[in-house]
Amino acid sequence: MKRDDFFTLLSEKISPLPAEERNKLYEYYNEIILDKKDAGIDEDTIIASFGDIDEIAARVLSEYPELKAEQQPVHQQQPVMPLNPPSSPKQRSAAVNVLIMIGLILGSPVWLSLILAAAVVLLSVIITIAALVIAFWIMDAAFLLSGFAGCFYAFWIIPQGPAFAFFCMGISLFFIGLGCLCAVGMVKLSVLSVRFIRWMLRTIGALPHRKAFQKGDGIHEKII
Amino acid sequence: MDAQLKKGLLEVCVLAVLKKESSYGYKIIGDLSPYVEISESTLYPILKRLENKSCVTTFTQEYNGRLRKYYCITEEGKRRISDFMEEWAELTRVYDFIVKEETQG
Repeated sequence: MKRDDFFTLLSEKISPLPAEERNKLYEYYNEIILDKKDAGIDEDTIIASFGDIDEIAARVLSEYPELKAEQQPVHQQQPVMPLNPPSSPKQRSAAVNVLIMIGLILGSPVWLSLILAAAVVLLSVIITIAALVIAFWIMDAAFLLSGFAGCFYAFWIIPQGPAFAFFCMGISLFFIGLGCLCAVGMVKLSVLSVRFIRWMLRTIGALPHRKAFQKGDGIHEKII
Repeated sequence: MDAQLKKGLLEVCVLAVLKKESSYGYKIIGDLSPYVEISESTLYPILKRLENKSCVTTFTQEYNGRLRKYYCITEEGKRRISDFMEEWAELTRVYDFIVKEETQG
């Protein structure tokens, strides 16, 4: 056997290997052939000394365990088709998809109204929470405004009766303090309400999950 | 000889050859042939494994108007030989024990 025939046969046997690995093997054997030729050995004897090509290929391929799973005998790669072949998973999944579609269309009066009802309930919950928060903010604003107005009024009535004016001033300052305290609480309550609404929307799938956002950003960065 | 044991032995044999000087496929086989049976198809996977384990590195050098790939032992390769020598001493003790038991039995 000549060198070219050896390499042709070898390339067939090691075809599952990546091109880079195949080239490394060709270079190795080519170098050995040239070295042996330099030593005065003729080509046919050199090729014969390498032994069985199947064995050479098997030894090389055994170094790549990841290829073992892909390597299968030819008869397994091309199975004989029976007369009545069973439907393939793809065909089966297509049939199932059609059935699901029909079911969805026929059941639409039920599931569509249920979804609408659920959406309305959810919307009403969100509106209620938002209304409560807004109402509390208005109440807080009322405390503050009445406090400041009371202070102004107290200054106005000092000439008429200082005792009553100081009483008004005290009450007004109390309301301003109450308004400030409530404002701190309201900021917390507003943040919690927004978080709760977001969590609710995420839970039902109306908003994408936080992790998905982060993942998406990561991919975006990678793409950039 | 057990295939796994032979594999390990051949790896150390190749490293021992390379410890003396950097060498190439044909010469490695020539240096080892008087001591152990080794063919081209056996040597290639050994060199590849040693390269993957960072026990050897390669470089090419021009020879006779063509490029020849040389294999060079690394510190990791030298450590591998030392480890083998230590393991061998232990193995010899076990062997002596087995021989002694066999003789007495």
